[in-house]
Amino acid sequence: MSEGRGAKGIKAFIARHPAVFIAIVGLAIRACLIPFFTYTYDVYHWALTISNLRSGEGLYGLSGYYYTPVWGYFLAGIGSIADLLRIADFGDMFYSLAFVNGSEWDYYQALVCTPAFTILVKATLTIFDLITGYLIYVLVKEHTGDGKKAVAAFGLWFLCPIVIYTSAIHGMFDVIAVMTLVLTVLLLFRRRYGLAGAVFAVSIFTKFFPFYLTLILLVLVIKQEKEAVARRKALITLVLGFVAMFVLMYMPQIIDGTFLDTFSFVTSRVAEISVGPEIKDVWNLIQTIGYTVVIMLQVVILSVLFVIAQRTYRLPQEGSEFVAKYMHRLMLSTAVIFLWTPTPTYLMILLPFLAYAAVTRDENYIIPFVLISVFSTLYALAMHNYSLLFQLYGYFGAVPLDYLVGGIGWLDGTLFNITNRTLVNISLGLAETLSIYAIYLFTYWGYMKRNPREGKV
Amino acid sequence: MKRPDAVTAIAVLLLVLVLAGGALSYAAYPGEYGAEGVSTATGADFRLRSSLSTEYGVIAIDNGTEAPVSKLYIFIDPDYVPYCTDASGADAYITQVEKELLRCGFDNFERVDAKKLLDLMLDPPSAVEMGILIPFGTLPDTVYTGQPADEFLNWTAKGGTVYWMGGIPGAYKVSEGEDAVKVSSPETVFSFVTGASKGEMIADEPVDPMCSALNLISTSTRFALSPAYPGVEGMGVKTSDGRCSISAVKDGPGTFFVIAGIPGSEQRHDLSILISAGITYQSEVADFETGAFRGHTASSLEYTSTNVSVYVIYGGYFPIFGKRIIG
Repeated sequence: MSEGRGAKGIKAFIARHPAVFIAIVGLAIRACLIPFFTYTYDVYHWALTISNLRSGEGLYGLSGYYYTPVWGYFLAGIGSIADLLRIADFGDMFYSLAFVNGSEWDYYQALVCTPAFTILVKATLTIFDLITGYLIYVLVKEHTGDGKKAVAAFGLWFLCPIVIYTSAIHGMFDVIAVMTLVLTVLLLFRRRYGLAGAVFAVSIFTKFFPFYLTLILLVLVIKQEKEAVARRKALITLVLGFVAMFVLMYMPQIIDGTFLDTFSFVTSRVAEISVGPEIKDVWNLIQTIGYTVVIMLQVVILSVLFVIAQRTYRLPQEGSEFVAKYMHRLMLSTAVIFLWTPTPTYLMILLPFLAYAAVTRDENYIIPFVLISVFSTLYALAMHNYSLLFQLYGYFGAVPLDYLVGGIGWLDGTLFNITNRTLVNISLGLAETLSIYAIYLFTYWGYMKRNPREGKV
Repeated sequence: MKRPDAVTAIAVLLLVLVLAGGALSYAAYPGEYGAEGVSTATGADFRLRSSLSTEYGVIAIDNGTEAPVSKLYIFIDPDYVPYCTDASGADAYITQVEKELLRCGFDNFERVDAKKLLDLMLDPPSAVEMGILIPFGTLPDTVYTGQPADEFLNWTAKGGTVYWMGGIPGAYKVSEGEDAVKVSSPETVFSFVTGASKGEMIADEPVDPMCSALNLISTSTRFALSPAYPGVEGMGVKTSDGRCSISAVKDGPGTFFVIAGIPGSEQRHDLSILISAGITYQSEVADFETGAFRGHTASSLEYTSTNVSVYVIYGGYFPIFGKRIIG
């Protein structure tokens, strides 16, 4: 039986424009998720931030926004678009969801944002997903000249479950830090140092993780510019771009005296008031110990990053050989940031570089890529669990209340005095951590494969 | 000709967007808002304006024989640290309360320390239309020791209103420079706390139309007064046995409001609307209208009562502007 003309046409289109097809599929998946599934807690805070702006309190006058200002500026833009589109209703209170007050988890929210508002936020983030994918495509294409590899890297990124989850469900802005980081790398390779410095400032002050890569990015500049004068000029231009953008970005907070408030997520949340003991259960205890471990691990992380940067500086290779090794070490550096168990969305910073490594260096890296994608998504789903269905319940009536009550009740239930929620979180957090560690395993195997007689990396 | 560089274009566009967003955050906001109202023979006419698309609510509140609070004192003293936070946490929270009050349209407030609080208690010619906020469930020993003769009781005796947050009324007292201590039987001074909630209960039924009209959001009932105590009125959201996120009770001619729960953003939100709207013990919604608009809109409310406040709030559950336009 012969295929229909339509099917043939689609196949021909896919063969001619595989990246466009991937983009369409990725957008279609997001379109199916965006209006219905939302992590209400964070998106509620984005609406609150816009209302604080609208009432003249800026980003930090009234509590509700705890990040550096970059995402807040995008929220200001989203607020203006909402105004133009006459989206006046940002959220409604579903009192029947108030049963969540009885849960041991504090991040359920009975005030649920409207689908219209969440679409606006998540559509913005989806644009960043797409641009990031395009930049990964350009990076691979420029370095390898291979269009197929570039499309594969784009596909890995744009169809990656945790990337889709973070922007289309969670409504979290990690992708902006990732996009600006990839853009910084591209601009450095193109020797547009001033612009790279400015974009890197945006990246760091969106989420702080790109800061860890400062040394290895500087190594790229130093290795690219052989002449001392050109090197000095490049570094000065880079720093000037960074400082100028930093000052411009922070000008409003410098003027209105809220500069220190922009780091409140590092120091403390405004006006902590508590009644009773702080440590409620095993999960809280683990988190408390975990924070201490993360802080202590910073010494190890920064040391390893320094060693990687130093060894990269000493690489004898030039040209494309150097680029290949450099990009591999950049990927390893992004992985080293997370020797601990991160919140799943944080991991997005390593995915572009892991996708790059999987398509250009060693296709076995596809295994940790898939493991990280799957387990971080499952971990995110477990963390946010039934709150993801509140919008579906409130605005579409598609989920029965009993289902939510029963599900959250089960998570709060205990086994051997530990809540089911804690057990699930520990299991998936561990799986996520091991999937990150799998990168080192495959790096080691890859090295042994290429250097069978060597006993060390 | 050199091919256009998409990567550079993206970088430049991004930087422009970030800086434009920064400018927008502080230059384009706040919007311009306003509201006016006049009493008519059948109720009130109102006219609203907003430069931004927003939800609005206009609520006529029948206050019965009571007068809304027009002056608020807020107790905070760094030398009298409450049981549930430290001095800087208390200060940060009160700063937020003040901003929220301003946003909701109430600007006549003043901080008072333990000494000024005593002065107010000793010499209130009349406390009618005056309120005191005790934000963290702890009174200083200058006005409260747990005895029925305590000066704090003068306030309600003179017709004043108390807004109590952060605990069961009278449950904690604090001396200068010392830790707050529990009072064994606060009900000997505040009899209405008998049976007050010590734990959290699920409150999922709004006490309407007031709750929905004012967009109240707290669903916490920890420290809520018992509905079994005579005269306790509930507002906000209630549990199946009638405990509410906001309880009100008469204490002599004065009134005690208890905003249940640990003081947080939801309690702050409800408190600010409660005070700004001029809610009293006897308040009932006489009429209200909600909708969305941008630019101007006008309409009217119908009611027959005479002691009515009309309160306007923009932004729905995310308030951006409030004003009491009548009363």
